[in-house]
Amino acid sequence: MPVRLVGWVAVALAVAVVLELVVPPLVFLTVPIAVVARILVARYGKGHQVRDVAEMLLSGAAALPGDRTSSNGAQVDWGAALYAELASISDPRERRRFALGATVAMLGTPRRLRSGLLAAGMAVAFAAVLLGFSRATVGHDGLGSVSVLLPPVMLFAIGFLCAWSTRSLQFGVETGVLAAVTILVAVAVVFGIEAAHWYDVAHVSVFDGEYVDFGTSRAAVLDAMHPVILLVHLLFWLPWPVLGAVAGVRARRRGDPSAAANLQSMA
Amino acid sequence: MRRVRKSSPQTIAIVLALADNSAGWCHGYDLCRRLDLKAGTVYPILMRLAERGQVETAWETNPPSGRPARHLYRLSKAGVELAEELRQSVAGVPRTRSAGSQRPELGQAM
Repeated sequence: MPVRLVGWVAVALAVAVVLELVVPPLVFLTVPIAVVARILVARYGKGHQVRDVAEMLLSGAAALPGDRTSSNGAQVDWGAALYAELASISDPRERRRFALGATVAMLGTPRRLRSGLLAAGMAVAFAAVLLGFSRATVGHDGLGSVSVLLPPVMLFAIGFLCAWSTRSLQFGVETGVLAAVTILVAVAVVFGIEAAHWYDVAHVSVFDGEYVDFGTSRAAVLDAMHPVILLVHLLFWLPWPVLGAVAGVRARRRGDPSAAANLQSMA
Repeated sequence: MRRVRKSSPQTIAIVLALADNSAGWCHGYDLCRRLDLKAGTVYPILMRLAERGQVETAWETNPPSGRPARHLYRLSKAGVELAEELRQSVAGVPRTRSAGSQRPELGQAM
C-alpha cells in the first residue's frame, strides 16, 4: 500500500506539472464540469423529460448513488430501482411522497465513518505536503499551483479506488467530495499559517509569490484565506472525485461480466 | 456466544411480508403500501437485507412498454430462516407495553 501511495503521489505531481504547463485554467475548470454533467444526463436523463417535482427530486438523488453489492456478489443499482419504481406510480401526491422517502433512502449511507476517516487522512497528508512545500520554497512562486492542481489528481484517485474497491459509485463520490471539503479546510489552515510566514520573510503572497504590501501579517493571512480563493479551489476540485468514481465503477464492471450484462440490459 | 442483533419492528414487518409472499417477488412500493411505511424506511432496510444476503433482487423481465423494468425482491434461503426466527420471537414476546403493543400488530398486518 505505501508503494502504491508513493506511486499515486508521483503520478499526481507529474500530472499537476503537465496540466499547469499545457492546460489553460478555463479549460481545466470547465471541461471536468461538462463531463460530469454529461455523465449524469446520460445516466438518468436519457430518453425522457423530467415530468414533475417528484421525478426531479429523485433524479437528483439517484444520480449520486450507484451500485451496492449484495452478499452473493450481485450488483444492485438502487438509484435505477427507485427511479423505475417511481415511474410505476401515477398519483401525483403519492409520487411526491415516494420520491421524498426514496431521496432520504438514497442519501442515508452505511459507510460514512470510512468516508470520514479516508477524507480526514487525505486532508492531513495534503496539509503536510503543502506545508513542507511551503517551507522549502518560501518566497518563491507561491503555493497556488500545488494547492489548486494537486488535489484534483488525489481526488480522482480516491474516488476511483473507493468506487473500484466497493463497486459503489456512491461510496466513491461521497468519499471524494468529503475529501475535497476536508482538503479545503487543510488548505485554508496552511494558507493561514504560511501567509504570515511568507509575508514576514519576503513580503510576498503565499498564493502566487507576488510582492504585496498589506502592512500587517494579519492582513496577509486574511487575504490568503479569502473565501473567493477557497471557492475557486473547490470549483476546480469537485468534478474530479465524481469522474474518478465513475471511472472506478466502470473499470470494475468491465472485469465483471454479469454486472456488465445487467448494465446493458438496463440501458 | 453468537451476538444476536435485535431487528426493528419495521424490519420484522418487511421480512414477514416478504415471507408471506415467498412464492413470488414483491415490489418495493407495494411493500410501502401494504405496511404503510415510507420509502425512506423500507428501502434502507431492503438494501441492508440484500447486502446481508437475506433478500434476493431481480429486475422485471417483461415490463410494459413505456415504463422501465421494476426491481423485485424476495427472501433468500437465509432470509426465510430469519423470517422463521422473527416469527417465533414475535410470537414469544411477552405483552409488555413497548413490544406487545407493536410487534404482534406488525405480524398480523401481513
